[in-house]
Amino acid sequence: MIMGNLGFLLYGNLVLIVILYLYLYKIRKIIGFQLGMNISMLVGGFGAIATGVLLIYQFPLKFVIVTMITAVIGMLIGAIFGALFDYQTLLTGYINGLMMGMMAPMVGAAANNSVLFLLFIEVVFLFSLVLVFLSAKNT
Amino acid sequence: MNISQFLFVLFCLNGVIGLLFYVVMYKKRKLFTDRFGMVMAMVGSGILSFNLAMMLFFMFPFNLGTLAIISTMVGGGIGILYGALTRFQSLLAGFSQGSLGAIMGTMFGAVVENPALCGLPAAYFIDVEQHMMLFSLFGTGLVISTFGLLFYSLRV
Repeated sequence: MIMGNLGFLLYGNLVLIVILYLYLYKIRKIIGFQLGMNISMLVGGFGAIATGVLLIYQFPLKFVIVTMITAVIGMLIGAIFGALFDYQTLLTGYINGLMMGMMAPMVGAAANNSVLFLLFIEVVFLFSLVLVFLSAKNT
Repeated sequence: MNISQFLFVLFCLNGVIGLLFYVVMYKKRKLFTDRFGMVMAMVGSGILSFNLAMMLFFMFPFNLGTLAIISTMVGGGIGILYGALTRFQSLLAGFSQGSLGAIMGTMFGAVVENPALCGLPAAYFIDVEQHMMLFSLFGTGLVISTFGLLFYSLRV
């Protein structure tokens, strides 16, 4: 059932990331740069991993274009979250999202369409978003 | 144009960009704060060693172990060079990120050259050379955009 609805899963991930961005945008003045650096690394990296695995499960015959798109998406997510704080957090989130986005389709292709791996990646992604939310709330 | 000539030209282009970046940063190293030095060493050495390791894997026909050792030494050297501009803190960050990028680049090159490693379908074996050219072009574009961002950060 889950393999037929990969697009909805990707859309749900994107919506969660946008909601987290709007929440962080409201309280960005009280977050220091140390926490900001870690937030941009975490969200960029795990967003890129979830996107890459979902895309390579959906299009297993287009490895090249999926890798390029995932690297660009990881770069954008890391840079947008880093741009909330200052220029150096932007650079950190950018490079981490890029590296993770390059690796993610490879991991997804090596996992051979296993549903368990996809569920594990989704749970790790949601857990990292919850961690970011809690640490931003208690700062 | 032959593919090995194409890869060699792109490899030289990447090396020239890295060297130019080092020269410019060496002239301005008195201006850096500690934190900017660390971020600069991480970002620059990570992406540059990734691309150089990937293209080294495409260019030379040795086995994976030899190439991993060579490119990890190259990546770690780049990280130490960039990090040594400011403090030891940034040297550690640059070395870790540079060697990590080189190992990842070797793995990526191995997967692109031999798609059966990751269980990709057999259709990829037909145009491996085209994929090699595409990925080296894409990596060079990433290197150029990253160093553009880093040069721009001197003005901010």
